[in-house]
Amino acid sequence: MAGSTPEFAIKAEAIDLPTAEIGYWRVVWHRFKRHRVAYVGFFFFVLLLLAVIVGPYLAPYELDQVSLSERMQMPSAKHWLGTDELGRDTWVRIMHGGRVSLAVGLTVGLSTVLLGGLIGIIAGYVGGVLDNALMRLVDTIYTIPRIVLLLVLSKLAGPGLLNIIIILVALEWTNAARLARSAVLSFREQEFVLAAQCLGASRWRVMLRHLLPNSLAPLIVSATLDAGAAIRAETTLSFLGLGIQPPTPSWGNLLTNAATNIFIAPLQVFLPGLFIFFALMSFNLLGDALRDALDPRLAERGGK
Amino acid sequence: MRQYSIGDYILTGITFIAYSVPAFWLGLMMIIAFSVKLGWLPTSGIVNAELTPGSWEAIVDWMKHLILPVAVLAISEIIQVQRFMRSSMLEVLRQDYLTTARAKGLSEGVVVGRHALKNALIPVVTIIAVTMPRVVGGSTVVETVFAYPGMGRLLYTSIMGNDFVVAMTVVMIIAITVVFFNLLADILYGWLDPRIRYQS
Repeated sequence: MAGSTPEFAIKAEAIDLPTAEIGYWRVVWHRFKRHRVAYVGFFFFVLLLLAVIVGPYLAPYELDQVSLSERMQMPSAKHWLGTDELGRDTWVRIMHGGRVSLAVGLTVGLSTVLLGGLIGIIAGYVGGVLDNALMRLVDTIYTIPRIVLLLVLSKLAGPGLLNIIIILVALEWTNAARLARSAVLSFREQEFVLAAQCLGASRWRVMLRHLLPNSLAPLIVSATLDAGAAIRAETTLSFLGLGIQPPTPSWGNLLTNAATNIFIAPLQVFLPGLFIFFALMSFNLLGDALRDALDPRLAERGGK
Repeated sequence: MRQYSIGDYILTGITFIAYSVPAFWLGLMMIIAFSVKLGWLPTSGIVNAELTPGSWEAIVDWMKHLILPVAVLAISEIIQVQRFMRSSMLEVLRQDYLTTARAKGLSEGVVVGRHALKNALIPVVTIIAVTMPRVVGGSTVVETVFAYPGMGRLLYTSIMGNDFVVAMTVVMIIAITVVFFNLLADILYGWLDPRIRYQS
């Protein structure tokens, strides 16, 4: 055996690499599946997504179909969740609002991770002045109370779906950037990066091909939790009257709208919030389950 | 919250669910429950304007107005503290010095209450220090829900009205509370863990 060691080593590596990669994700999937909590989160998420996509078509009403003879009704066979103060069908409005709110959440979750991840990787890999500048920027965003920034920025930018998304991304990329940076810092000095550099890989190739996949795990968790945070922030802003504006429904402004009639129709206040709650819970559950599943430090343990 | 017991599951489950409840919705639900349905507590404002200021009724009324906003803020605070307390406690309980404490023949109550709790409190103090300024500065959202004329709502109305001087003052006050609570936390660290010393 001693004579053929080099050849053997190369072979072993050639065989090992792809299986190792699949192996990691398979282990993750395995752990994710065993996580009972994950099922609940995933179930709610898919259910909400389906409801929001298909929901509006199930009821024979338009989004802003006003019917003054059917104002503020309780749930019935005709109006599943009742109607609001103008006789608009609550089910249809909540489903449409959900499209907006979920779209904001998913877009923000994805873009924060793309933007923050990229910035974090660049900061961590390039280092020096750039790293310092970027991290001080992150610190600055962290230091100012979130609600102040949200209020001032949305006041300056004006209401609107795109503005909300941009503001939330501008505030929330910091999390992902920190995570990606710390992951990159721990990988930067390792041999596989050196090997790639020796093989003549460009900076971008090292960052995107070697460092990005390795720091993916915390970023995925961050995406899920950021999406939840974005929904919370969007509904809060819309609730305060700074987010999505009334003709377009969102879970937040449906709640504000209903709150003015809280004495007459409390149920209309309860329902949009319930959907916000389900959305937040499903993202939080998913995030927690993913964190457990993706964490390589958690060895396979039986039972618990 | 000591093991993977049923009590642990139930408590953690409750806080997890409560963690996902948006504060403004919780506030509205409490208004529905205690003001609209039961009629026990007022929905909004700080005091009934018809009462003479300083009279006994006015003070009681003022307190009644406080109950719901305080409850909502406290719940969101408790949830965060519980989450950190649990994980930090679990971490501490695994340490060797607890085995030592038990080996000395101390009762379980003393072991957990004195030896474990004090050490587990350190990260929790950090969390409280970070979140307290938010409570002092008043949660903008909660005060808006209850139309409570506090600093949070002042911040909101001043920003909405382009009154940035007022907004800046509020932010300044919040900044001062941040510094103050961080100082307090630093002092508390020294008390909780005598190994932490500030002299150079």
